[in-house]
Amino acid sequence: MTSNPQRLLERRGQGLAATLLRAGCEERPSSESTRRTLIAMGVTTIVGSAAGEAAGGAGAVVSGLAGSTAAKVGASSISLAFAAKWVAIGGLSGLVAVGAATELAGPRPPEPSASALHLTIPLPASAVASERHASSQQPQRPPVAVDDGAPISFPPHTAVSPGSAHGAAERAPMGLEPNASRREPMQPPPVASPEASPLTRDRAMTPAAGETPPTPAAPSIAVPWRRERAVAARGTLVAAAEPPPDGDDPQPRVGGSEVTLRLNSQVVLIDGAWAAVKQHDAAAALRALSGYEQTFPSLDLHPEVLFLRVTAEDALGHKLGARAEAARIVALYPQSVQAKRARALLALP
Amino acid sequence: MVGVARPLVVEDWPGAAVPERSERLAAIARQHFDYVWRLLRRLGLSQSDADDVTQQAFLVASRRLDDIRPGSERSFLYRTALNSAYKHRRSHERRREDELDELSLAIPGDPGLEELVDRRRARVILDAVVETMPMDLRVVFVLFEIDGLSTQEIADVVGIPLGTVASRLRRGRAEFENCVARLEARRQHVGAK
Repeated sequence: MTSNPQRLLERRGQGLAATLLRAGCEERPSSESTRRTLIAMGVTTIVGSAAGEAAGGAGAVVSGLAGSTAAKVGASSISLAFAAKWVAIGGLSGLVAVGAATELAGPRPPEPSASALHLTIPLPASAVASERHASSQQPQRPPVAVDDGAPISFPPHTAVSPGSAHGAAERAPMGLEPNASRREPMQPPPVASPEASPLTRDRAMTPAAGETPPTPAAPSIAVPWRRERAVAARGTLVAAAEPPPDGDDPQPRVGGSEVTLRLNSQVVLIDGAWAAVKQHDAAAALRALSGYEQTFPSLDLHPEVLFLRVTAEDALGHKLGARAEAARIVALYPQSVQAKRARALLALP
Repeated sequence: MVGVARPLVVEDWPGAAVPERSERLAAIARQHFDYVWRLLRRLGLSQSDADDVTQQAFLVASRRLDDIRPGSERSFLYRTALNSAYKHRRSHERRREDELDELSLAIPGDPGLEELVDRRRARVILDAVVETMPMDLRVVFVLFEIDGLSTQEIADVVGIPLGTVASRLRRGRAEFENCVARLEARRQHVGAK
């Protein structure tokens, strides 16, 4: 049996060799890198130290359930020392989310007020068509507040032409057919049980089957979000927030908690959309993600969102749409992990 | 119409971790992320490349989590990262020794160790030194001297006999010490001028 020799660093406590080796041992990856990897793996609770606060934000919009679930997962995955804290956060976020869902699902249409924030999620025309298809088979319900949505405006550094929210293949920079009419028509999404899908359970962010938007072109749903609840949820944020990620960020950075709030909101949005895809409700996932660029202009998790759109489009049988989104990933984030998968999808080297 | 190469499945989504798996994944990441990233850095990858490759390694681990036996996560991650590093290596030439000399001359003034307390500079020199080694020696050297693996663990990770590990470690050390000695001599020579 070979015994381990003594390490150079132990043998030579000082000197150039030891200094070099010590420097090598001390180097660490950035917390941003670690966080991104965890998010990519789906281990979102590390960021979400406050899934609770996210549930008050986009979490409430996307899925209150996702928020409370993430908080629970967070409680178990982070160290035991914090378990009690996260359970409390999870409970609070659950209350916030349930409260928001109750309010939004109630018969009273939301009234714009000074104390309410409006998160606008524009819907693609195809999604509206899908909703109409579904609504023709189900009893009508009073629509939620709907206003005309603006087309998605891509940030200045976006290299592809903006196009409409989800339809036009003109966004695709890879020589895909620009004729949107050649895309396969979107099939009505399979009906998922309310218990199965957080997105279908919480219809706050998407119109219910009977809630047909009145305008055909990229409408959006204005979802009120009580500022008081947002502030209360934000109060649960960890004081030591992660440093803001690098890159263009047109949003002013007030403090670490703002960044954490923003990231967590995006994580919850993605989690909710992903849950919808898994529950065979890809159309709901696309609707949830359709306003991402507008809602989060910092685009912190844009590659993940684009890849999720690829998955959702593909699940709906929209091969061209999936390829267009994959092409966007390759064009915008050529070095990302998602680009590798996108290239495989596009059969590119 | 252009067809899709292959249908996407739910598992293609990198974030397809269900809550039960998340806990294990989080634990693996907490335990090993820094080590894997550091290994890649010492094997010559830039910070951003190390970020990407580390992420890839963990995504592979997340996809194949069910295949990874508890306790062998580190070996799996290191093996995956090493494969990526080898691929990366093929596209990058080894640093030439004359470059290393130039690098050592770039250390200004009296070459006291205080200068090298600047860890960033020390890391640059360390990278330059280990980059002069052949890859097979470098892997063993870095895993043993910097990542702190035992020779048995290195044998498992790299997939070579224990004796080969010992031999490569010995040669890697000799190269490292020669290089450091040459650096010191060079700097003293320049400092004396």
